[in-house]
Amino acid sequence: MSGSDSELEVLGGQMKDRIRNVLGRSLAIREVDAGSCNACEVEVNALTNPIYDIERFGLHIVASPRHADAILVTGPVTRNMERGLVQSYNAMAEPRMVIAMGVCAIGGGLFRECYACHKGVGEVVPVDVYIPGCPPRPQAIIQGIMVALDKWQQRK
Amino acid sequence: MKVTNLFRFYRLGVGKRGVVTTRYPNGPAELPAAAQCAPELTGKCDACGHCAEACPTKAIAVTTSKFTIDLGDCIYCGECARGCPKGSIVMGKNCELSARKREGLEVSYDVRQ
Amino acid sequence: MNRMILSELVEDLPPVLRTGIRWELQDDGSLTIDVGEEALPGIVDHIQKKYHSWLISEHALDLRPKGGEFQLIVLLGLPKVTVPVIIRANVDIYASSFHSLTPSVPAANWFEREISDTFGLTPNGHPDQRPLVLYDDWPYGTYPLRKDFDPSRPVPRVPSEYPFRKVEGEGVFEIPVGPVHAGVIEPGHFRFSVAGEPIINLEIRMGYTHRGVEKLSESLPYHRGVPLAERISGDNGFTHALAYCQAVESLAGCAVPDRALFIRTILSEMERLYCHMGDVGGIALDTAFGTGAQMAYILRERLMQLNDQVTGSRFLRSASCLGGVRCDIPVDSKKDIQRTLLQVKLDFDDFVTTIKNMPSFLDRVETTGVLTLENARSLNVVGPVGRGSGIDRDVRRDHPYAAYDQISFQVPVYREGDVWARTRVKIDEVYESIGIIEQALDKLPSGELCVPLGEAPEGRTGLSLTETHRGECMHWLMAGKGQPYRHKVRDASFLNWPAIELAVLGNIVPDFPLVNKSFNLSYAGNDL
Repeated sequence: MSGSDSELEVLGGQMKDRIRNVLGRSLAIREVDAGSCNACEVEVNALTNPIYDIERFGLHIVASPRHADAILVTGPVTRNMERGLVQSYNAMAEPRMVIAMGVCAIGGGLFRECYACHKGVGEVVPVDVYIPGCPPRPQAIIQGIMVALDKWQQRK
Repeated sequence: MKVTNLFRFYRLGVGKRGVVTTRYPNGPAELPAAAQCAPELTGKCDACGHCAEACPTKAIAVTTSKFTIDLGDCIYCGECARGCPKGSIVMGKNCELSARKREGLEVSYDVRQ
Repeated sequence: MNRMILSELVEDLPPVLRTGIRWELQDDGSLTIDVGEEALPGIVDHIQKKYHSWLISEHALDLRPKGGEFQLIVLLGLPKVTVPVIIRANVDIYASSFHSLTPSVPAANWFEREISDTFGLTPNGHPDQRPLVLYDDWPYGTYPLRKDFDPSRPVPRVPSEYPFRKVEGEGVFEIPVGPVHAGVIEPGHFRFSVAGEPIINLEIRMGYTHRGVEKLSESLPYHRGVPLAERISGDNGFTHALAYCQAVESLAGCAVPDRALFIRTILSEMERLYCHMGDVGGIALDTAFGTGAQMAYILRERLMQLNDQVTGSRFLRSASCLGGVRCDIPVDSKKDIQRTLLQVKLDFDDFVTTIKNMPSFLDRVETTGVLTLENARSLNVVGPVGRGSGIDRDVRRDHPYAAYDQISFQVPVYREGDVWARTRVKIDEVYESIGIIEQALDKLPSGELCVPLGEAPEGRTGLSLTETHRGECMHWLMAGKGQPYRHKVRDASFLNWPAIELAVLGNIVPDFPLVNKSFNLSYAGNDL
């Protein structure tokens, strides 16, 4: 057990180093629900459980968009949440990033033809990374965050 | 009194589970055998269009030369795989599909008859 | 039994209320009463007082394209009767208003505000006429669930402000919370009025996740409604889809094969298990007992991986279909489920022993957020919340569906009504669920998984109730041409949200997350 333990820490350390290179210390993510069915929230919550434990890489889910480097948006952006999403986006400091998570957030999904929904986050705020899935598995979310890191590295 | 009980629990190893953390992203994503991710075209296709009709989010477009699936619309429901008369569509196991561009989510296959 | 009580109910109506009503006992034993709109409050009040009925749903329906008027439908549940009483009343097109039930039936409050929003029918005598699901900038005179509304046309925004209730006095101040919360939860707005620490008033503003599910469903063929129903409220998607499938099956008169019924039972309980595991873990987390919470979260993850292994989806999605189920439980899966459940049961025992022996945990949860039986009754609170307050009702036992009538299980009921009572209900239900799955796996018959649905005759109505992990979930359908003419969804959250406003009174603000977590309601299921 101890052998694989230390190995895990080394590998985890590489990801941590990469985050440190790109962002200085850690990546703070704010989740904004713009009308999802709460399955995406369940998966984001699963990221912080001991199984996926993203905090070991210095990835934090923070309480306010003001603390965040990136917002993870779920849901097709309902008419009623549009203002909340735009305000959250504006509250973030530059450089900022928007990650659209789940099919609803990418293009509206099943709710494309609804009177009370936009067709995805892209209609309201500019999106940098798309994570497909309905809902995306925790592994898919982690991979999406890594894609976001790559983008940041290039920007730098 | 009760507090000491609690410590006794921990000393006995109650609640100790060993390492449960997955190796991902440093190892491969270990999904169960039955897990369904995005559909993939693996076999022959005669562009009959049954899959496109079956899709609830209209994520599939089939022409005589190309089979295109927009993963940004796919809800992994498996209707296309069930609707394919040739059984050529299977639900894949790859969940690492994120993209930086909306177009990057479109996957095309050449139609082989 | 049903017939006797129901025909007695009609005979018993006082002569004043009986004039002008028509009633009929349907083949399935349910009672339909047609009344004049002005007589509706009187009749509902009478049945409520005399038979202790509860309100399952009140919704409207636009019959104008069929040459009719608007129609109000009130569904009442009666003790010891397995079918609901259906009361219908026509509402005049020009008056566009009806007599409100809310003064005598408090549970009708949000139902009538929703009708007023989506159909433009004014509930006369309703104490609260503010919008509920549509936001303040929705233009007056546009009603999305009316048949003449065109969902493809964009709706303009009209600037206006939502009038919150004001609490004034010396030292009283307001704390607005949301719609973007500190935790990873769905959007909703809470406005606390506090004097010092204790909450003296809480107002909940919902509607942020209103997506228009009911209108969308009316434009989709029946089989397309299943994936939509799975996405009404994500974590109880399977039970919602099951309710929808059952409603459509009752329209078409389709008999589902036995094996499918048992698999439906197993999957609903697997869903309840992982949700309850998350709930009790969340309560431990909100009392700052992180170690315990993570124990529960590990179990939850293990159960979700089991879902993945059995159905190919962590949320049991696309496992249900009309006329049966999609996914089979072969011998391998059966063994997987049995093995995992055994481990989960042992580890859950550890978790329960730990929290039950933890004074600092018990100190936070006992006597916090008390919902009295009286309040719970009048608001018709359902599910574990109701059972934590002493309402002994469970759809699985009282209106058996799937294979629940062939399985023995207990319904845990506690009377205290505090956070701890609700938590204990959930803990007990975890054990019951494991028992139900084990029994169902043992009895699993062989046979077909799915049968063709058949034709759903236009104009017929179908009702289905299921027990999600939040409580009673209702899907009501009226058949149209190959798609629903009207689809009404009522999640358990819709009934339970107003109860939070009462449960938090007198508690301190830092206990609110705990109370909220112990209710664990769905925002998306409430707003639709």
